[in-house]
Amino acid sequence: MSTVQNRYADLQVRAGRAEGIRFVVGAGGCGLAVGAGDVVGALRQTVARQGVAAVVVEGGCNGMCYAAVLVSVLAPGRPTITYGGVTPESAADLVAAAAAGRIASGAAVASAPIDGVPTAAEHPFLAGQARILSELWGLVDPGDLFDAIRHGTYLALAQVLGGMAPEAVIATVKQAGLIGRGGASFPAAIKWEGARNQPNAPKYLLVNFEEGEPGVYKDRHLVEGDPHRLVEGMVIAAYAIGAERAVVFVNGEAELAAERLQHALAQAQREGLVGQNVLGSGFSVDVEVRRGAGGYILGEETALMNAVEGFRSQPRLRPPFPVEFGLWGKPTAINNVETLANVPAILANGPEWFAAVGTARATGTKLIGISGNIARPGLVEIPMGTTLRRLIYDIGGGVAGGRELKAIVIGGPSGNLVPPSLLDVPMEPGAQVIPGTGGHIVLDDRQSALDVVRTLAKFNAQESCGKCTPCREGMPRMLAVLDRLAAGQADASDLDELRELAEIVQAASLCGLGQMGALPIQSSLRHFAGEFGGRVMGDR
Amino acid sequence: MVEPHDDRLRRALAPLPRERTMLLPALLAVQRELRFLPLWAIEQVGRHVRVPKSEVYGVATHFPLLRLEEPGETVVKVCTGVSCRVNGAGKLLAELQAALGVELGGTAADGSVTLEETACAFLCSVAPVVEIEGCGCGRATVERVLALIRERTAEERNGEAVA
Repeated sequence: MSTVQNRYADLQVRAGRAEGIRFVVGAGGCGLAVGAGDVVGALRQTVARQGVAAVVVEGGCNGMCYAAVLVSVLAPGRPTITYGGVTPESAADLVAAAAAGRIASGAAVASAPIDGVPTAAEHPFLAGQARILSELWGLVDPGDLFDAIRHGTYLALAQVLGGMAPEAVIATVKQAGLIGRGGASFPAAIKWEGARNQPNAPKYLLVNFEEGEPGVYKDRHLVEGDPHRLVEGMVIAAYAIGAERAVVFVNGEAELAAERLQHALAQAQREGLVGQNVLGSGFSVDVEVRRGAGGYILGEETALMNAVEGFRSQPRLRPPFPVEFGLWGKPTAINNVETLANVPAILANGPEWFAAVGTARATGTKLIGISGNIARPGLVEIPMGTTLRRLIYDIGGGVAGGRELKAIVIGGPSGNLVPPSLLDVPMEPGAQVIPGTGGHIVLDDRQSALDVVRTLAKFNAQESCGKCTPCREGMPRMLAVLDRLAAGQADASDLDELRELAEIVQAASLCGLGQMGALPIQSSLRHFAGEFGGRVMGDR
Repeated sequence: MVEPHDDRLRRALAPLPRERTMLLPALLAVQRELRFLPLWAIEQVGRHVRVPKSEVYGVATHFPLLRLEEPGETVVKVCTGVSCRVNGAGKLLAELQAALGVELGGTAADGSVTLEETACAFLCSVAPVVEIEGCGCGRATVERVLALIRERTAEERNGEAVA
């Protein structure tokens, strides 16, 4: 065995086995917002009072936000049972039940068949998912490196550093077909190769964890639930690129995710998994966490570089592309959190395994937040190519209250309003229905498409950074037309103006915010023309 | 009260390297201390990271989370993004305005509460959401939000009494 693998084996020995009962509370942002903190307190009190050999872990959410507060009970030799709707009052019985080896009320899902509690394969919310990135959410302790190691985290890193050339890592990820999950769907390995092959040095890895698009909360869920998966993916990526420094730029309001990530990085650094001479391999990478201060434009990759350098976050002209001329003029690979989190599993299981999930054009899975008027709002991981019908009806339980579906907003202010007629189209990048960045909002038949589009247009008008004229002037002009439509003061020429403005803003804007900012308007004019035209007609 | 040449400002800036790349971290560190960025603090940040104060001002006014005016003791943000809107955020906002006696974007006369809206609190799966000093309250009702504001105000007052 190489030095690297010996070092990893030492960490595994130190991690040992988990002993006793573990109550993992779904204490992600969603859970904490509905009382998970009180449940943690109640469980700890009860465990102490009843003298049960158990620990209470502040974990992440497993994605079943609709059933929060969630608690998973892990006990040696017994199936893991996840309970939903836990309250401080019901916590006492949960402890007593776990100690007695019986099942308490509120059991939602079990890891193996037991007393009629559904398994993941039988559970409607989980059965349609393919959980690669989310497999440890709500089970692993995000605050404990050794618990992550017990679940196999950092094994892929040890394999890579123990005997794989950076070029081989790039080739593996290329063969797996991993495309970027931040919206642009660019092949990750091509980006890495581009940065690696630049003669210029040093090289940088910039991790885009800005996630500022309304309706998208998947990267937060991922990092809150399993931060070490991201750290491992980052270090492997930095090795592939030949980057000696990585900057993770975390959204200014994602407080919990930033805390858990910083804690994870500090632990990984202490145990030699990040920093100088990683696992004794001779490879070194410094990782720095930076925070944002709001503004949707900040997530645009060149605007993000400007912010890191100490300027206003406004986009830069491309070319030159960041892989040639990025941070401080040096080759820089910029990757989304979800993209990097896929990397350890690809290396651990092989590219064929990964490419077998999803479709031929888009391999692997996609994390998607489902919210709005939906029966089971949450965060899911589905194979690329899943249809909206499967996502919204089978997994999400359909429209809340059994109402009729009006539309699904995919990708918020840079996305589309998708009508029910497209429910059976497989979602993948480049298709008629795209998964977008990972936020789907369901609208029921009571909602007005015009009102939703106005909300999104108002956001884009506010967030336009002002650098280029089509976006800066076009966004407020489109909003003004929508306001006239909503007030019933529009005439037929207004709709023509709206179409024309949308085309100009899309074609002539400098960056994605402008280029995609007219999409909600264009898609709703196409699919919900009646609502827009109706207002005009009614006035005549 | 915040005074120029406040020690807290010096303490906040001291650990940060005196380079332009530290401009945003410096502004965030100062705002964490003072709750906002008074003009004199903007000047001192500029001196620390060696950037002209006009450019620091440009950056400070560019980012929506940076504040140039002092907010009330407790900042309450009601999410009015699409997921929250279709789950009753509009009604919740109106009720909160009435209960607190504060207009949207305004601060109560006694300086206790500032009421704002946000385009997304990123907790869409537990909509509607209200943030009280950055802490999310999901499946929010006006009663729960008011109770949380009272709790937070009491904690602040107790904290001051102890200090």
